Amino acid sequence: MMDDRFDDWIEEAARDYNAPPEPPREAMWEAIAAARTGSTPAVRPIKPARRVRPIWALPLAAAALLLIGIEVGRMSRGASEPGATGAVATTGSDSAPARHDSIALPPESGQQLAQQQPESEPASAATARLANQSASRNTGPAGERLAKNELRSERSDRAYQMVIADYLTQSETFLSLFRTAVTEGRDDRLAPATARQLLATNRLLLDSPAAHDPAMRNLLQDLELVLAQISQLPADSSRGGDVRIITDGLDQNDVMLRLRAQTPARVNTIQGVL
Amino acid sequence: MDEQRLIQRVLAGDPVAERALYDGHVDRVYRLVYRIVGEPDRAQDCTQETFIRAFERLADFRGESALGTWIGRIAITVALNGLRRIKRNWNREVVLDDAAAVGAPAHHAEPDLKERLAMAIDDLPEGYRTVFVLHDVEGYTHEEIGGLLGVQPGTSKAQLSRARARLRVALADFALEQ
Repeated sequence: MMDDRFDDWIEEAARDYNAPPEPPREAMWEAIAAARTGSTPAVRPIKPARRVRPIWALPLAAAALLLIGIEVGRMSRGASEPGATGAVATTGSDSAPARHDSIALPPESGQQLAQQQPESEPASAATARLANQSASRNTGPAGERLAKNELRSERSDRAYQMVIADYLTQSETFLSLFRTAVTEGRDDRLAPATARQLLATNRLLLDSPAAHDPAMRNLLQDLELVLAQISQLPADSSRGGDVRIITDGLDQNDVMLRLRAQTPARVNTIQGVL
Repeated sequence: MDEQRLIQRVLAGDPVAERALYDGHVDRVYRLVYRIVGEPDRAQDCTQETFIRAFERLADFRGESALGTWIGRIAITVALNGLRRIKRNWNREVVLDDAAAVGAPAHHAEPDLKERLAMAIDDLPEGYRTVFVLHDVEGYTHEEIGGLLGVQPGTSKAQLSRARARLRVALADFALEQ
């Protein structure tokens, strides 16, 4: 009884909620007509995927990403331990690196590369340059420690760039395949499982220094929402509305365009590093 | 003009028919998205995008529901996606001031209650809020809401009931005064 009265009371009070003004009909029509004639398309079509990989490639790629993540974790742990020698290798020390052989440089190789490729300055050259600069500025044990810290920081940044570039490439491929499967009505039952894997990596990246860049953080958050929606897609036929909301979300947030905008630049950066 | 004929003419590229279709639905679409997004510029953007999409996809319209329902469904999807995009960070007070300035207050709810109620509605989960706005604010039936949201009328009733229960809790002190 009390509830009924309260509901009536709420219903009456709620009629002023977001009360709409008179619609600007002509202004809206002009904008619609302009967009439809192609002068400024308001809804940009998403182009088909440039590269089509088989669906089983995604779990493999996710596993590869996981391995890279583990290696990055080991490297970070090693760098934070006192006495770790990976960074010392580039400062001209005679001692060989105790771990991370695939990433640490042999003595003097950085300096040689820096002389050979002054313009593009790949990772090893930059590392040598940084080490030399730091060493020349600061002599003695304190200067060496500073050089080591700078090297660790730079190496850590590159490692995150590698992981995030790989992750964005995988996400772009996955979303392109998902979109194509939806459009063509193909079977995409594996999509929720793959989305869950990508979602787990996404959340790790959101908590990492890679997400300090606001644009990257926004992209990761939008990706998180899309992946969470895909990961919860039901398997039955009632999913049509959910799929539409997901694809509309992709369109409205320009997720694919932003992914593609980020991916080539970052991949080029990584290629430079390697 | 018959709806089916109007659609055929729009598909044939007749600009007069396009404008007629727009005129026939624009007020309802704008009203609907405004109730959801609560801000004039955003409502205008959503309305425009709704019609752009509707014209683009009109060839896919199979007549399984009324054209107005089909367009309304696009409008709600566009508005909800727009809201997600901005992460609901708009300022409640500004919206209320704008709404009060242009809307005609036909009822006699206390200003403080209206503001509290508006904030409580904003805080509802998206599904509850959409059904509450469509039913209690815009006056749609549960069958119409089912058509707009692509859900069963029973789902709409359940969502409305939960929305009201949440509002009761949020406004419990007002309920005691009644």
